[in-house]
Amino acid sequence: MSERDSLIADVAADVLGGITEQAPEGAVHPVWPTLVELGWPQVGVPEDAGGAGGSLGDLVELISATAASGVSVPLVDAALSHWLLGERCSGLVVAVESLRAVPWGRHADRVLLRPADGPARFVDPAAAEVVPGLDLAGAPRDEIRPGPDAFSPAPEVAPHRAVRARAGVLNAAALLGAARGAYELTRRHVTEREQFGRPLVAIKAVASGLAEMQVRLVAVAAVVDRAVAAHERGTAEEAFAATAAARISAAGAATDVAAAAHQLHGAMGVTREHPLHHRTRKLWAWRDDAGSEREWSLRLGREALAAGEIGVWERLTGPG
Amino acid sequence: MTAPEELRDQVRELCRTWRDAGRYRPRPDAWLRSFDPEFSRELAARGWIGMTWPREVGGAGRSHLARLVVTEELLRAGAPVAAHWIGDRQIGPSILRHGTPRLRAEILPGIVAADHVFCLGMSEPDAGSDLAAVRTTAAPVDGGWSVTGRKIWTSHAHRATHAYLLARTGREADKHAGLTEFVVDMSAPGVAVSPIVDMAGSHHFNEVVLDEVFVPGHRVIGEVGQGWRQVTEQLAHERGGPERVLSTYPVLAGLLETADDTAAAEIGELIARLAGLRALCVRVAEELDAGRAPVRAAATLKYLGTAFERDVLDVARRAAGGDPVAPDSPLGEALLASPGFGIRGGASEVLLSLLAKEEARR
Repeated sequence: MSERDSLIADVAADVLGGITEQAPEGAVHPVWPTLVELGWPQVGVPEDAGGAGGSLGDLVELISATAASGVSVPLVDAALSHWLLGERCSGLVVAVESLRAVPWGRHADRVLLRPADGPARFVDPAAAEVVPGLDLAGAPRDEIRPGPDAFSPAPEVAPHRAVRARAGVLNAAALLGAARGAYELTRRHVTEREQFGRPLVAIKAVASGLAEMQVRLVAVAAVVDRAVAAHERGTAEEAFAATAAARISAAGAATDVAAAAHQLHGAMGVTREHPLHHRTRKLWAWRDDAGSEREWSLRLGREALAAGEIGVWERLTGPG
Repeated sequence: MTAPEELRDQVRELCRTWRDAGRYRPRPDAWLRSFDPEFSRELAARGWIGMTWPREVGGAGRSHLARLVVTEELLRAGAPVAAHWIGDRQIGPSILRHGTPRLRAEILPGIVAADHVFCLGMSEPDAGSDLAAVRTTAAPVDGGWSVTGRKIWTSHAHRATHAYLLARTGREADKHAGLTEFVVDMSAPGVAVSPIVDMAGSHHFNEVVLDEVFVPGHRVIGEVGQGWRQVTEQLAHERGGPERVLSTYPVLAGLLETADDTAAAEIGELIARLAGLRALCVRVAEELDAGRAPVRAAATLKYLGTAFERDVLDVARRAAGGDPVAPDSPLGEALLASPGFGIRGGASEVLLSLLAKEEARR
């Protein structure tokens, strides 16, 4: 972690430390207005483009810290919209490819609909029927059925592949954060909780399970950092491939870390009251967000087969 | 100074030339199994051995990141690098850190020139991953030490000119105390080497018996009795390199050229893991460049890397579609070598428990 990263982490800890993650299903956590006021969703977008400045790496740190804290807020979606729309982004805007399961739909001021074919349009949820739905983490995934007056023209935005890459790296950062949060709770639990007259971590298999979680986090952090570097310094293709690697690794770790966290928490971790599910349910929900784990694996694998060994190696050892 | 990308091209060109001329066959696990002093001398002539070491001992004063460029290209090519690998990777750096000026001057230029071939006298019949359990003793005698004991799993001892040796010089109650590191001449009277053939039928392992072998006093590396602290740092070099990730790369390379779309998702997952591991290799190299011994990062890299090496083989096996796997094919050779991946350099279970202790202590 660079000095700048640790500065961002300190800021995040100040804002998020000590708050409870508990909030009703479908709600935006009450800390959200503070995050908006601090300009977090605009980090990683240049100031002259309507952003708050800072790098993508800074944004990734903030997303990761927010996810680790367990609060449910639309930071990833809002940050993506600010990047897409710059100063034309006002209020909470979520960008989607279809209106079937819109994240945070009921809370959105506007939806930016970018179908795979056809021009981008804004959809006003106030002029639409909003059919409520939830994801596994209890965050809104609402179907939006627009009325005839709901549409308005939207500016041309970045191409789909670039948007997928940006959304993918933000999603990987969120997965990493939630996994870190689950890990920290688990580490505390197994070192504090005593059974058989000693802390759980004295059981070898428990200690190994904990270390196994940690090595996965180290690996995911490395591949997310690499993806951030590729976005900041590489070509669009390098950014896309590095994002794919980060997304796949983060999703795989999400599955294993969530399972291990629950196993090591024992029955303690399965209640609504316990804070663990605010991380593990997010891991389950997010691992197939912004393109499913399998889609990303297929994409990266097919591109690798098309590029052949030399192409894969060049990308692996190249900049970023 | 050659730019990294130019350096990369030069290594590729050399490997291609040798391969095309039939001077080597690309093999998995080549850093341990493919031994060719002539190839090592060719690398030496280009300044690619001891390249991070200072110029006064024959090094090139390059960064560990530049060295990573060279080592990863050699591993990718499955080139015969075993003759200099141990000396270049860990014994040279250890002597550089802890050795006296005399020892440095005596040993390091020989490693850089690929004249010295080092083997690792660490493991013993009763001291595997538990390195502090070594029983080989070094007793003080006039002008030096008299070493007696047995070392095992000593790769290329039958071809080595020198051995790194971890031996007991004190009988303290704490088994981590009283250990000392030495450089031993393999031609010294009392050194006997006998082969251990591995399950693939190849001979690189040996047993080395030392019977009252005289080692001159100036051949102690660092401080007498400080061997444990020193060897722990050495393990960061031993565990943190790309050879803990790329031992089966030639198999993955073949897969990328021959597999069809049914293997695409699995290959995508492997490439994603490889990207993370390569990023960890870069991180370890950066730590070394900053003058630190990244013991934890290296253990993490090795733990995850050797599992990756093994999993490559499983994807390749499934993609091969049921044809018999010949023992001398890349996949066959790699499979027969694979049980060693998670053992050598410290067994995975031991690495995990080392990491677990650190986590519990935090």
